[in-house]
Amino acid sequence: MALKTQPSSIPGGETVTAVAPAAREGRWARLLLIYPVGMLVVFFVIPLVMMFVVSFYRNIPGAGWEPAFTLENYVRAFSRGLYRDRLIYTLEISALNAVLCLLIGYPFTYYLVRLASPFWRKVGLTLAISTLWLTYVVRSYAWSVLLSATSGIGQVLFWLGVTERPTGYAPGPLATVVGLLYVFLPFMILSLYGSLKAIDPSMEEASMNLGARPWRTFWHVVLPLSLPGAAAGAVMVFLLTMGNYVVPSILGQPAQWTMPVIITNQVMNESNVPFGAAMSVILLAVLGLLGYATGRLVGSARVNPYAGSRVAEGGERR
Amino acid sequence: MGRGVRYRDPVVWSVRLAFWVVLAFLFVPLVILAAVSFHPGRFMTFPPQGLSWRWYETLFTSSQWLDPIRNSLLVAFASSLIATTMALVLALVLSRYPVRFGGAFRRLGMLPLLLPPVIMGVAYVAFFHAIGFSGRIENLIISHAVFNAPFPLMLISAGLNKVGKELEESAMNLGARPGVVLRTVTLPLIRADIFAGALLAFILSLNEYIVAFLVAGFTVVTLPIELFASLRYSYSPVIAAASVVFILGTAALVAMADRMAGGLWD
Repeated sequence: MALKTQPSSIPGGETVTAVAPAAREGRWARLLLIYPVGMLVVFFVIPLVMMFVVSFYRNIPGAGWEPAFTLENYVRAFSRGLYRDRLIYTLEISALNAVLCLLIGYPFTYYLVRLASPFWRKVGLTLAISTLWLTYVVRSYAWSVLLSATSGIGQVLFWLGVTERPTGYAPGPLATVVGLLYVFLPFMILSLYGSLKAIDPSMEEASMNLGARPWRTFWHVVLPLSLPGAAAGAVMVFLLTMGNYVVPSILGQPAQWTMPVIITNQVMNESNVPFGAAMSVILLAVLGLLGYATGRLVGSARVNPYAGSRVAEGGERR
Repeated sequence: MGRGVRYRDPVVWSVRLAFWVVLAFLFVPLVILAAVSFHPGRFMTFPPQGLSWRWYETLFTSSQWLDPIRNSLLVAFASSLIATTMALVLALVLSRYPVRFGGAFRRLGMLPLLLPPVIMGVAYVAFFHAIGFSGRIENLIISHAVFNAPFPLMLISAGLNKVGKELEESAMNLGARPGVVLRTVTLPLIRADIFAGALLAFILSLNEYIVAFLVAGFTVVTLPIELFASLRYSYSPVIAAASVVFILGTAALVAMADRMAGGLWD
């Protein structure tokens, strides 16, 4: 198993000289762990703890905060209709986006997986998820141009004579829904690709040979087998949408602002860090509960934005 | 459709149509951006009125855009370096030596992936403010490093799994010391995975907005922050030109990472 035990199995005089440095190496190696683990503790765990602590502090308008133990931030978040509505809206639009991504991503990915040529399959997959790394800012901006009155669809519709004057659709509810779909569809495709690819095409052939029409084959063979991947993808999209700031803030009007936008506004514009922290804790609790519940449903290893990719292979290993 | 499943069925045809519609949906917005960036007028009218490089000239000559580009590259370079060294040490030690709580350390390293960036950003605001060290570029570098470390960690761990321990054990059996084995056997074998992981961390840092905005948005302006701010306050094709540069740069880096990792997907 471990390197340091290996040399002892060698017969001969080498053994004694080889074991000692190996054991020393093991000690040194474990000592090296202080660097990554220390970084993670100091710059990941402690900031989260700090956020939790600050959520109980009292805000001093214009002068930061003072240490205290008050529940007023949480009381405010729950008692004001505005913040409750924003949380409910966030849940709704995230669920809507998960359903839309699934409905649109499924036929696409199914067709992609069944392409006969491995080369074109790879090209198709690469194209489909190539926008995944691009910053949300550019992707949202692209849609705000496309849906604008001055440079986008508004001009085309006006030119075609469909509308009497150039009309814009961004920012607005339509732009927000389309933008969220655009941004998270690649994650859905990635998740579906893994599970659809795992289905042996001979299963479908067998079903067809037994006389089932394509629709029946799909309904009784393909769909049930792909359900875990589809569910995992939907959960992923749901959780990612709930945490997204950029899309609703660029493509939405205040009526489309989700929890991340409200939180960021509190922290950056109102300088009310304790209240922003309290709402972050609430959002994190909701996400954690939903993630845990759905993770149990679809298998927690699959609740990873990059599950199904080679990238994720090493991570969730035991 | 593949492997003998050939049906002239309306379902099959609608699926084929859906495939092309989705591909168009994914690429039309980016093509429109490119069109806007080459359009001479302030606004893109339809039909278009010619081609011009003027917005790209503005982009690469004004400090409004050059400073953020420099900041972004610096943060991406430094943070990917830290993220990759963290990931390399963690992956290497956990896969080659018995470590107590090793599984917990690995899960801790992966955890930033599951946290919404906006919450991480608020946590950094609270943390850096509390230690009286806010708004610095160092803060941004460290936050991006920790937040993006799961990617090199995944790739390097996968690389170590793939390579196996046989070659290292052979080298040890032939009398090589552990340090020599590491330098001459293990590291060369996983070099491509290390570089691919570093590239992913670099790309993610370059493209990250909300953590950067919360950690140092008012003092250190990165390219996504400048893009966001300028599309709030003005509508200029320079933003489209900057976006096109962003798209091409990201595409080139992802293609490089994909080649190095021997295919990131599938």
